[in-house]
Amino acid sequence: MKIIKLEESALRKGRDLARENKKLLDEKGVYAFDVMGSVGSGKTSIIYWLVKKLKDRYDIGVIAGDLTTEVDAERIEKENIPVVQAHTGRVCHLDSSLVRMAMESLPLEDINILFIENVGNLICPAAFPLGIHSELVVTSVTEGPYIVKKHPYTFQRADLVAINKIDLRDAMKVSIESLKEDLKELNPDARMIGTNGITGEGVDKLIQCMNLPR
Amino acid sequence: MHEFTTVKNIVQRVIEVSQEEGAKEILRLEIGLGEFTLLEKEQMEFWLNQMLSETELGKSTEVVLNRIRGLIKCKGCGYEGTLETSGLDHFFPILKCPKCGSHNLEILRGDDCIIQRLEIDK
Repeated sequence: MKIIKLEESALRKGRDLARENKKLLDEKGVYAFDVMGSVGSGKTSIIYWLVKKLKDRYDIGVIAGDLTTEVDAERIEKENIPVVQAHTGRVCHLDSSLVRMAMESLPLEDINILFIENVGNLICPAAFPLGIHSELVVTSVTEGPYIVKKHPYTFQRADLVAINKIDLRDAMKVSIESLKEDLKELNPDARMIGTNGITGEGVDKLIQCMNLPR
Repeated sequence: MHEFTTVKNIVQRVIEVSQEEGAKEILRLEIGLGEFTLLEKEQMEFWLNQMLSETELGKSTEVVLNRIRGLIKCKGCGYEGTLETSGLDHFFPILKCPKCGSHNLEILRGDDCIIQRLEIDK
């Protein structure tokens, strides 16, 4: 019998690659967002509006993460910007290697903003750094009044939070103020902006808070 | 479910090392699981046993998971120590200084998963 003391990180490979992704994005002058949120919170709708409102000022690229379909990518592609689909198959989050592969299919020289739509999931993506500059969480009033409190890990890391489906707040009896208080408690530096993914309401304000490069 | 990919990487590395050492069998594998990793112990155990059993060398490997307590340093008050767990946050400790309530913390330990040691039979 032989004992082998390895003491090796099982997560290091992914974290190193995330750092390399960020370095490559910086070299190419691309500012990247990881857009995270539950299934059906409105991530694609918010990206759609961001693209629509920003595409005259910036050259935008999108990586659309999904288990198996191209539905989200096709929706954004109609805006005539480069979109790459990243399929995760059985896996519940994007990781740095999938993002790296998707980045290699994007014309990084020709874009300066990249939105990466993560898989619909408010837990797992928070544990897998992709190598981006800013984390935008899209949540919605239909997820109930405790959605922020119940997912501290994701909301503690967020730079900006869009609270979507704002038009349904009365029907859902959800207080935006109370959600903002919960966020402040967890993450005093993050801002929460009300949005409506159908009409685009609130997206201009969201853009103002995104610290986009000039 | 993200335990699946982490375990896949672990098993790949463990088999690689064991083959390099000329192992006939992996008797025991010890993994250190950091408190702040979002990796769930039972799921890690399930996938480790499942994936090892599908390999030639890992059919009867004993898997041991050691919890690595998280350690933080508060940038607000300087507190250095562990975190509390409570109520809704039972999955992992809430990242908040137990002394002053600040969220401005540096994680000193506990955000990694470590392949600690292997026992092989040659």
